[in-house]
Amino acid sequence: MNTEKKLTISPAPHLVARTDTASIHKDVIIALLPQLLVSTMIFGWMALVLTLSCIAFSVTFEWIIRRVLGRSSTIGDLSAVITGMILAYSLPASLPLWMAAVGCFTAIVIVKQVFGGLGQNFANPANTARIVLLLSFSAAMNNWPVNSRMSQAIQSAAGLDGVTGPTPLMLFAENKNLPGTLDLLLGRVSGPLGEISALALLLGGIYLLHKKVIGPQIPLSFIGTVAVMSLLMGIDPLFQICAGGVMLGAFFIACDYTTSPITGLGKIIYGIGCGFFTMIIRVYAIYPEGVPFAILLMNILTPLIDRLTLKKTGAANRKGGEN
Amino acid sequence: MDLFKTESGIKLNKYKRTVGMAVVPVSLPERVYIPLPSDGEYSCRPLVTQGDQVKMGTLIADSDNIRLAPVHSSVSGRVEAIENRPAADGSECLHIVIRTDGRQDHEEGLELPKAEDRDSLLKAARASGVTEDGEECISIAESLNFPEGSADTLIVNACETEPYLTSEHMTILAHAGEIAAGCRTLMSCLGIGKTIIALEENKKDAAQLLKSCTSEDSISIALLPSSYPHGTARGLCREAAGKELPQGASPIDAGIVLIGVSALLKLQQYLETGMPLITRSFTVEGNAITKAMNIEAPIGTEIPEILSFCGGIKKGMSLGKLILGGPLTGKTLPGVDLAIGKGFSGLICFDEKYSITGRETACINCGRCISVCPEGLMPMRIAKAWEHKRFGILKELDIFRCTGCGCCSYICPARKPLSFEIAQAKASPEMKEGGVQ
Repeated sequence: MNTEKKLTISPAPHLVARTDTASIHKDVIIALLPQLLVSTMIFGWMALVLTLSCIAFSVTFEWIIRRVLGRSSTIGDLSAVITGMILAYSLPASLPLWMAAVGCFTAIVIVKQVFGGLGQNFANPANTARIVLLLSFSAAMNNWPVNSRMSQAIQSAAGLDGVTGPTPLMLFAENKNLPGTLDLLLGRVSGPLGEISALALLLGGIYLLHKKVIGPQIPLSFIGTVAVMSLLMGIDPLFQICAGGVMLGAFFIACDYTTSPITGLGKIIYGIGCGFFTMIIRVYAIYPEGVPFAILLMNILTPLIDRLTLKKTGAANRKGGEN
Repeated sequence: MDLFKTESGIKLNKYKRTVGMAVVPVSLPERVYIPLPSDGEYSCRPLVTQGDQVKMGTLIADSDNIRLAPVHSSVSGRVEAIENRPAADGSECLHIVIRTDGRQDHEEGLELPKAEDRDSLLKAARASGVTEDGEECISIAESLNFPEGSADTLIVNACETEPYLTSEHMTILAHAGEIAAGCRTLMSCLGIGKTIIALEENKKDAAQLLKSCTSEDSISIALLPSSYPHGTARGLCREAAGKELPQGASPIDAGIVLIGVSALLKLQQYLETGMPLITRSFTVEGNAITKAMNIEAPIGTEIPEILSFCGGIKKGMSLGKLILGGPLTGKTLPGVDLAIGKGFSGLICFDEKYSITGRETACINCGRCISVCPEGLMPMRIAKAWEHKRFGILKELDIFRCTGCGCCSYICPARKPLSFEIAQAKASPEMKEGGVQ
């Protein structure tokens, strides 16, 4: 018997594409960074500390629960980092860290790991946790820190007391003077630390499209529906697109692979649904922001959408096929 | 950009560094170890014994099962032994060991075969020893032996979409005239009305050359996109002839006969010279080999000889994986001490780093496998159904449409062995009654 090292035996194919799960998640993290930069400039170190804490809580909870459940560690795929970041982006920059920890626990342990981990969650973990926090700690979750760069006109129109300030959507709900589109794009407004600069999020979204991490179907149909419904309702579509969580939702949260449909047609239906429910809640319901609820609802409808659309594009795709 | 369906297949053209290298014959080895294939219970029995003198083209093994192609000596020399040696799939089979005398005399008794009509062509096809692609060594006469009059189209598969492989491209450039003659022979003997030679658009020089050799209307060239894969039976029927095969059907059900371009060439050369199949052309590639090149070697040449002819393994690297065939559909070899047989087109040498394709992680439902599948299947659904042994679901997922191209496994970010799991599902006894492919 010779003592040479043995050759590897494995099934074909023997080449793989360079993209793997971790590299996809790395690209999402990169796309989220411009917004983090803007937030830190506006809200100060507390924005950065909250984001890093959420990341730390998420990764730690994931590591602990995987050990408790006797499963392999999955923190290397970076999905917990993204969950932490997106949850932090949905929070006021001044939220107490222990509340953020509760949110991370909800997202990682309850919505994700208990259902089987990556690929098995029934709804987006960060988005669902944000809703849980909104309902559990509503006072703290509506305590928006002042944006030092907010324009004077907005500050006086909103009757600011110098400590907290309303979000653009709260102003919309109360029929007050709204910030202009430029303010929304450049982050001169109040709000969750990850939703205030539509431009920063748009840059991230374009990066994700370029890297083929996401397809254009969901962002276009989500944002497009918001625009169309705004026009039909007689309100400013640009405001509705740039204010609140539409940008973050359309490019980052709604596009989560596990909780969105697989087929092109399914993605478009899903995006339209997200946009539709967002606008209905914003205009007719008591919550100023409709994106989280819309996304949660469409996440739950995703398996049904898949079932309805996969027949048309899956195995029965070719002419002469058996179905 | 189509929002509803993304383009299927994957683009892998950049791995063709041996393009333009003509096929080089290897230096004659000292010994050849010619493997005798077997087909389940039937195998090729040796017709020579130790000590016999043989020449190039001498018939040295044959089988009662006419599906198996006969085996001829690829060198002139003396039969040293007939022994069991390791075969490519890890088992053992009989090999005829011949010590070459360096003279390379041709067998004198070879008659020029007659191919005037169907029966004589089929006899000649079997006697030529030419096989269909694949290691089972099924004679080409099997695929030409269709019910008389039931075929109207001959498709010549001149595609070579796998990365690294270029030997067929070079072969077409060197022998276009004989390929055209082969088409005419088959058409006239088997009563087939038209021929389509299918190749990809990145082989325009070969297409031009073939066009100039085939002035008649009954032979046309079909240029296919150069993404992978395009040389599968189902793919060719669909793209070259426009016929979609239902699940489980073979090309002849749609009146199509498929033949590979190397097999056609070797058959025509046999008809013109009387010399049966005794050499194989293929590409030696991979990041661990010093000189990537296209070579032609006598059947039975040992792999270490081939590797050293190509400069051996690069300094500082060690061989991690040896693949017989292309990098996307080829089989890994268990060791280096094997001899080459028939029906493959590449020998790929990867070092240890390239050999590991990554740890399998959870499916994230990204849908890349679905968008990339050339047959429109849902690989992750099939793999999940197979893992949970849900045969009811598997039966609805058209798994016998799968051609084993490997696109799904290639693109999967979670490194799931999707095409392997689909192959396992197809081979399982519970699914076997479902379809024939």
